[in-house]
Amino acid sequence: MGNFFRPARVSLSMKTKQIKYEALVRAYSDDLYRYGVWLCRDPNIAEDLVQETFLRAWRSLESLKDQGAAKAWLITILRRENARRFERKQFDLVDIEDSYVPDTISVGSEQEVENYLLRRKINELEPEYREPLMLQVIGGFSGEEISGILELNKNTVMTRLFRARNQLKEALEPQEQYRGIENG
Amino acid sequence: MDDLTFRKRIYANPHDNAQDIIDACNDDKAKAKFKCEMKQFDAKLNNALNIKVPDNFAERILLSQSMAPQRVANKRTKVYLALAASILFCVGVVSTRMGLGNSFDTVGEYALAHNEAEIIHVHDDNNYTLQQINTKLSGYGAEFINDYPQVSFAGTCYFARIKSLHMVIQGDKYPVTVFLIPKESGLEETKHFSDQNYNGESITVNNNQLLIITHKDDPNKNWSKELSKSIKWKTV
Repeated sequence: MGNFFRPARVSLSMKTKQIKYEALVRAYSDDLYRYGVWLCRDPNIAEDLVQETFLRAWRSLESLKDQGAAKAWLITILRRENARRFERKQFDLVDIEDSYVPDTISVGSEQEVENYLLRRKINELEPEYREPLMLQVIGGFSGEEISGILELNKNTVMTRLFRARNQLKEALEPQEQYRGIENG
Repeated sequence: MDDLTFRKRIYANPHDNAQDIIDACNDDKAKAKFKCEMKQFDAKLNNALNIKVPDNFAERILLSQSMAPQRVANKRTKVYLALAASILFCVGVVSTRMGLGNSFDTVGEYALAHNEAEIIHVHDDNNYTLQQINTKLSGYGAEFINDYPQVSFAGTCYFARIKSLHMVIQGDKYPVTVFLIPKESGLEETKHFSDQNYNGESITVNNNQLLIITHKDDPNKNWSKELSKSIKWKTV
């Protein structure tokens, strides 16, 4: 009985793999790209990173048992790929300007100014504060999930998240106070 | 809950809906207001982080995966194709148009198929700086020097599983596709190749193959010469 069904199961598993893979790419490629841009601060490198990530994901898709953990799994692959980039060809890398600020989706001009300001401040955050914040805001991960991805204690993650937002708020608030005076 | 703990918790996660946070907000209007403000701040943050994703990004990722196993899968590809038609439709289109089987034996066949399948997904509105292009080229021991051409796309592609560079150069009339492939692609080399729309040429430099694919109606017949002049190779 079991043998009778085996060939069908083999082709089904290939089909299932393709469907699963396509669903993953469609669901998470945009978020991975956004996260990648903030991680390596270069949209071109981010594009390559996401491509590498999915190629690796395809090869080891069988190891993903829990569909709910797919996003965290992909982020972990992407972070590993990013780290490999430094191991591999350090001498080939060109320094990315610290002032690099990615463009966001075009919105109204006032919103655009505010976005630009925020992005600059996010960019100025120390990576150890920026990364958990990106995981929380772009990735929608919980404190526990972030601590799993970054291999940090949950309290450390929560403290870093607190400091990240605190620094952003402090950096932006003087601007908000002065804006009225300048405009008036 | 004391004010400091509350603020710390909300700063760390403005969407914290644990019972003690809800209770604290019910008991103290100032706390509820603070939480509301931080949620608004988070919405701004979310907005600022919403970077524009390249057009057809998911499609291009799916395509690079579908192109990748071509040579290895060889005989089984037909089965895979039938099962995964939605992903492999591009390859299907190419195969039909070119009258090819589903596997490629030579670099030229692969390059033409890749070119035709990918050209519709390549967004050509990029403005790359010379430094950005050279960062990509440096991985292959190459760099553009003076009089380099206008590049409208440069990205990694997987050429028979080998990580390669795919560039699209803005010609006067037709775009020119360039692949830079490390030699170990395992595919047989072909100096000249073509299909009904495109001509291709392969140049071997150092340990790389530079494939230049031009449209048959492109009046500029000197692309390979011009590109060879624009690229400086590191000696190996």
